Amino acid sequence: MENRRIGLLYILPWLIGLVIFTIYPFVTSLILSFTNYNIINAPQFIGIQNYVNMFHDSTFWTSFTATLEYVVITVPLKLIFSLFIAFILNYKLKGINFYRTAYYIPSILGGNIAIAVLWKFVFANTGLVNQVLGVFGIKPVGWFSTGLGAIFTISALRVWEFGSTMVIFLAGLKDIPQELYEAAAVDGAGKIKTFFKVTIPLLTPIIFFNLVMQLIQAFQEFNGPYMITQGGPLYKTYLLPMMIYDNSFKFFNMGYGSAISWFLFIIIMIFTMFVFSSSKYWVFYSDEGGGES
Amino acid sequence: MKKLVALALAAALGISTLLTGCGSSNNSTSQKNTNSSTKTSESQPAKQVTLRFSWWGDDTRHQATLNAIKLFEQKYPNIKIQAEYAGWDGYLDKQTTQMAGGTAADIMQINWNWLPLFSKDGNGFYDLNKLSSELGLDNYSKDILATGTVNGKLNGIPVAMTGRVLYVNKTMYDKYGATIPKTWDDLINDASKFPNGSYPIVTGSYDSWLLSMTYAEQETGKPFLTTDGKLNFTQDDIKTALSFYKTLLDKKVTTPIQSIAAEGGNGLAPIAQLPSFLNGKFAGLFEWTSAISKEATPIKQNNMELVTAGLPMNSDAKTSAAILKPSMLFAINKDCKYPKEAATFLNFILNDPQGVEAMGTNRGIPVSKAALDTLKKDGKISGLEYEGLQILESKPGLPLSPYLEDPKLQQVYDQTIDKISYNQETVDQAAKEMYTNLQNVLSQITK
Repeated sequence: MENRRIGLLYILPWLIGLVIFTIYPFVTSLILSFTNYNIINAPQFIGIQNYVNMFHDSTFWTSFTATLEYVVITVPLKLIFSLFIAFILNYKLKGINFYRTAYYIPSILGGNIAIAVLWKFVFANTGLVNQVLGVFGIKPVGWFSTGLGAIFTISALRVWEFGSTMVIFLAGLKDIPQELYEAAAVDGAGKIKTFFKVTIPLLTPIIFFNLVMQLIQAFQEFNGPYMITQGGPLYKTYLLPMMIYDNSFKFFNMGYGSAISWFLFIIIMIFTMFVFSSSKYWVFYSDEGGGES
Repeated sequence: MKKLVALALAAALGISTLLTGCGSSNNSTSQKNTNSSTKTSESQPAKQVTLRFSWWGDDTRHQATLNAIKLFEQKYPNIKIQAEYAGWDGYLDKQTTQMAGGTAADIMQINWNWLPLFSKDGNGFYDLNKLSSELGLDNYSKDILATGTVNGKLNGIPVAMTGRVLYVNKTMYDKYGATIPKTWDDLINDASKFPNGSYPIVTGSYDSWLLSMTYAEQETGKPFLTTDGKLNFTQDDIKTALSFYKTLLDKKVTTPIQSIAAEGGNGLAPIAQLPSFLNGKFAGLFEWTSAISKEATPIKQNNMELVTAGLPMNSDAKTSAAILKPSMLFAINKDCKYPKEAATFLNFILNDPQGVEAMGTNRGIPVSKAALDTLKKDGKISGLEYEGLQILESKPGLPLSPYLEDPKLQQVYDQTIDKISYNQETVDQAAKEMYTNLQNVLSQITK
């Protein structure tokens, strides 16, 4: 009994945070999504009108499509890239600790104004990327002025922040027993075959974890579109979180903003549930006896 | 058990010190207040008053304002001004939350288009007409005060005016033998003299709409929006504006939105920061007079000269359609406990030579006659901003609607302009869609 109380006391700060910063906004936003609320005046209950408006709002559908495109491009790119880097950093190289730290830096920098300026220099029509392409005789690409190009620039920002996924992959790679590689080598498997037949299957729980986390993060992406493209061109990078922000804090249409938030929440839930339910077909846990023996 | 007791005691101690921490500091300040008020009541009758003053701006503005506050507190030792300042980004969010929660400052710097947001009926702010002698309102013309008046109540005193004027890069215009445009036809003719990839002007989505709207207002003699937020343009008038924009694009007078985007211009950073503007390839812009001085500096550093072209008008124009509005206003909280003292402060920074000199021109060229005289004597009134304002004031336009800059309407302008520039829609389609969208948004925001 005493232990319980002490335990409770220890987690009290976290509990208070949970209630104030998670549960309260969660419930409030659900209630607000059924109201017309501009912060200045008291909320007015309007039933499901916000949700009805949402489905008739062409900007919303453009935004939703852009969000899906962004997720589909970003998540696989980021997973492949961070796995690739983790794979390299798993070798015993000279000064490996330095590289491991250095590769984590972009994740710390995250999305800020300096990065937004940097991105402009990299992807502007006379920027770094186009100059490099020019060396190979490729005509300059309008990264910010075409829909797909602009989506790519904000995806690149996310992919560039590969540090934490990379570290988790690295831990997973270190966990794979060395004997399996030795056995594969004895059986005459090449490097590529070993990678796909040993490394990847044993890494699936980690891939699964990273996939779920990245999926959720990607749906919630705000910094990139807000700072780099402002949703342009033609709303092709106007992701749902930015639309939520604009409606809530620029147009002061809190009710509508909350309704879109709840739509986004449900979409994320559906995707996550889909990944979870599919996991039994492709995720192998070595202690189930699927891998060894 | 001992441990638990010790822990509980420690926690209780922590909490109680926290509580007493707040409480005692409150006590001490209130003691101080009573002390000083008793003291002052002996020497001078004025009561010790603390007022909160909030504004947005950059570092130079912060510094100048803090200096002015210091001078004010020396002159009026019974009034303390508590400064609350921040940058522009996210300022409206903060202001809205404070207005809604009743915690807004006593004296506030507000934006002109916030008047319909916070004070639709004129009761959102203190009626400054009641304080006309303390505020020195005789320093302002009737027209100027009218811009801060809602429903007969003076909600805010305009600090400075700002308007849209065409500024061009004279160095580049001279280089290509183009004339500084006086009419829209001049501007369109100039375009043929510029080489491929260079443009006489650069206009972002919002600039493009304001420019085209100005043209259509000149042609029709009608304001786009009424002051109470109704759409006054017909679909045909909108088409006039959008066709003009299309002409500017087709004749390569202004840069397509694509070229601006390709350089990383996203509407967040000023268009004057685009590399092609800085190197003179985009040789002009339709800019707020309040923003131009700062933007001209890098052009000068690149050994080029930005000059005021003014507001182009064709000979058959029915009005100048000049866009001129208060760049910002000072308002007093409707629940302010000491409105007289607040007015004394405003009078000091707006009209008193000492305050005016400290404040300088970083909020724009002041509209107060007293302030203008003081700064003119100091030789601080000149340059692109002043030239632009003089042109706009010499050609009064139509009454400007405070709804013009509503963010939701801006989204409609931007969407329409972008669709034309990206060739997604013809002018006819765009005009039709814009007309419907404007009606929808206006019905929402004027509700």
